[in-house]
Amino acid sequence: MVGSVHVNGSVNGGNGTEERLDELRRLLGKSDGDLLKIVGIGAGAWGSVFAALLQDAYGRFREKVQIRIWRRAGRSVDRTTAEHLFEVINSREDVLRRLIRRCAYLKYVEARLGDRTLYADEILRDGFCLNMIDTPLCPLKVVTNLQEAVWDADIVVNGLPSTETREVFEEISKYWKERISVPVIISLAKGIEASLDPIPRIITPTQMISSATGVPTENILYLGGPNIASEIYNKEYANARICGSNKWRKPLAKFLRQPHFIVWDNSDLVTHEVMGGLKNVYAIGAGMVAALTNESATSKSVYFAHCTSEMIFITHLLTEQPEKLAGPLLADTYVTLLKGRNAWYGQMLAKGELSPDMGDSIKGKGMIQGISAVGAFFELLSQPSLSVQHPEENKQVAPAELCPILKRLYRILIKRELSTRDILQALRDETMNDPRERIEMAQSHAFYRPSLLGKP
Amino acid sequence: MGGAEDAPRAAAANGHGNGATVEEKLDELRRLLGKADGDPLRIVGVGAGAWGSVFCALMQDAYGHLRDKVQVRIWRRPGRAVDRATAEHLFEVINAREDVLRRLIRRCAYLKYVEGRLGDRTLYADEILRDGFCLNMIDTPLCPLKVVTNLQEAVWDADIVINGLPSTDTREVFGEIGRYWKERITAPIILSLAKGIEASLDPLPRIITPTQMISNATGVPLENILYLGGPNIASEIYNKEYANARICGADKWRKPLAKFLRQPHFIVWDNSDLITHEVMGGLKNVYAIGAGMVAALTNESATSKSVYFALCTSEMIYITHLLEEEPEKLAGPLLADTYVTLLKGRNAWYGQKLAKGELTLEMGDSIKGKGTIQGVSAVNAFYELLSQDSLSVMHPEANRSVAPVEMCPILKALYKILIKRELPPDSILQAIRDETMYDPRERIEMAQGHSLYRPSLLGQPKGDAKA
Repeated sequence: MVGSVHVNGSVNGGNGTEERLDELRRLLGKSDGDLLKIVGIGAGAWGSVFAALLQDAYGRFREKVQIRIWRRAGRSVDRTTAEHLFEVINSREDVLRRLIRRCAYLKYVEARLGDRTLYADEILRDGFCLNMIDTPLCPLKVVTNLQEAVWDADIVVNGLPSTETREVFEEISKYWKERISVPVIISLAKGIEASLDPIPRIITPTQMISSATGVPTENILYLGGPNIASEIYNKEYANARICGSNKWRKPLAKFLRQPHFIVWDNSDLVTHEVMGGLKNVYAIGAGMVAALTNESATSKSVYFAHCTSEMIFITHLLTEQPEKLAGPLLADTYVTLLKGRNAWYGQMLAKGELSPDMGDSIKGKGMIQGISAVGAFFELLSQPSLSVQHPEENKQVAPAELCPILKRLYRILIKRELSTRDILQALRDETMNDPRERIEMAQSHAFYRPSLLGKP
Repeated sequence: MGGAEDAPRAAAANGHGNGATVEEKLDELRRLLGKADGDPLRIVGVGAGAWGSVFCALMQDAYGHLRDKVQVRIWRRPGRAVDRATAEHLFEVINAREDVLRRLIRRCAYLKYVEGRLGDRTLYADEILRDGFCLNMIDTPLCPLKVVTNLQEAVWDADIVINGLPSTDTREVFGEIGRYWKERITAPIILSLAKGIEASLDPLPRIITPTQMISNATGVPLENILYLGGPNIASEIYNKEYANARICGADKWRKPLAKFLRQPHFIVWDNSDLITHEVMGGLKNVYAIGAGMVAALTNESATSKSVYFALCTSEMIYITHLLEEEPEKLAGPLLADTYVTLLKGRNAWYGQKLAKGELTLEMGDSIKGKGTIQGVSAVNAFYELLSQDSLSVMHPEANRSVAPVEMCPILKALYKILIKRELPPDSILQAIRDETMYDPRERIEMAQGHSLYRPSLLGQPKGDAKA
């Protein structure tokens, strides 16, 4: 029984789970006995949680849907992590009981004792994501052969870092060469690349996927939003936003929505995907400021004023009506600056517990996408062909000159010619423009550069 | 002593420059105010809450050594006793800080704190403030201050008055000050730190701000009254955490004052839009209480905080479109202030305590050790104002006119929790988890897509150009 339909297509009343599944199956032309196959690609924290949420919600309808996740084989779990994992298991009665019941417990005892090497894919079958050991998930069907995982998938969820997206989806396209039906792809990736030839422009993960696989853009969507994966799995209330074509975004929003996971929908795929990457840039700086000032709320607010004014300035280059991003961009920025992998990374750098030479993939945390995004945005916005009028000096400058925090982060993280402490200098420079002026400038002049997002 | 030399570099935005010495800045302001040699510039803080006390202490630290040119003093009411528990805590603070302990011993001012600790003597807020202890901020000792408890004596010859009162006391105290100033020849400058607002519903619904109260009460022209807003964690500012503030008001005084107030760790921007910034300072305290509730109810969940942030900023943006013709310009400073106010601060703290049951509404909005929680009265003011049918806006879906407050579910929930008291604090979670709630983006689009601006709300008749 379907109750009244509310805004964004949500349904109240009655048990809507099986109905939502049936509706999506119908839209995809699945006949009885033909399973809807949903495949997560990549088992980072968010990719794993996403697959687990779907398994928890729909997995019991065994004859209608199958959810599986692909990750590479061979990643071993080190001794320290195995010891910690053993503690996590033993401190959670429900998890312990489940492993005992499935005859899957003793391998963790052996690993704890150092008598056995565990691998990331085998622990993921029991619901342990290597990037999120403290938050056990439900058991998952894990496939390590990419062809076997994706060849007949109906819906593919891209949980890869953007830096691996192109490579993996190019391989996937070989397996899809003779497919008849076109799959739907949802991308969770937040990183971006900059292409400078023939003209400066941003390349997003969904564009990479479309180029690599030939799947039409209409079937590729981006899911963005605050992304503290463990909190989402623990049923903290969260909002996300699915962006893409009319055909799929509303049905998918409805399908993905759960009591504690609200999914809004939006038609502007490219801009939201890019903004998802932009906020990670500034999250690293926020972590640095937090660590260097001992969590000073006052200094954080100064940083927030400046970094949001830079983000607003950049959005005016990328989209014609950026005010529409104000609400969701702010919420995502707020949580990304407050907590999250990129902010954590900035804190660790500032405390000297990590250094840029260790690279952007950190054990136990996964890929720090903000680093490559700093390089991408800075290089893009440094191009003379994008020059804008300087507000005071009556000359044309590259947009990066008006983004002192972005410049500083580039020199700290990419050029590595400055220390993390220099981020505070960017805030304390008395000659820095009032952040309000940057916003006024952005709003009063025509800055929009359609070519930056590959639009005519 | 001449005026300030031009800075080695060209002066940057907002007219500030590096290189001006402290004494040069003071001399420049004295000259602008027509102070002759031998006539000290008199700066008076009115009200000794945390921010008011810190503000005076910053001035004293920066300029106080120039004794023949400036005098900084602060007024607070006499008679406020320090309770035993606070006296004991204060004693611990003093003994933990060698610099403070040495200073008190040197000034022969230490033993009264021993007596207070032992319960053998009652200390009073004004006497401890002379030693630099603000009752609302005991953990952060300030420099010694000249404290005056007689209001007439404090303000009668003041050149600059700093309003550090809660907005709820502003009208009354400045009404009294107005009587002492009746025969003044020179008009003083008044700088207000107050963030609360009132709503007046007669003859038209409109907001009354503290600066308007001050102008009405004293007759001082608005040109001489300014608002200083910004993230306001007073103890952090005194401890030299880097902070930005914003001084809003008429051209004549705001730039010279911004320059005078600016310090290495306290940057002051200036802005001509006095009323909007003053009102927004009050609006963010409304939502800070809700943020504290959400933080406590979800055990500091960053994810839930972000949902709340998206929804409350979209309501704030919607409300700014009712109040201001081009509100996008608030994005920078409004955001920074909102961010810190939601993260930390008295109003957010209050929301947390309510949600945890450690405080109740019956205790009122003035809390020992914290001061006035301005957000509570602001909830009432904004709610009543935006409930007026005469301000109706078109509902985006129901195709009928509704009062603006119907588009602000968080404000409505806060009103029912804090004012009507018909809902418990955890109802705030229902407001953010309502599946029928609009995507916050839609509220923003609605605000920007239709003409919502109501000039009468800020007391300006339609058609008048903004100054």
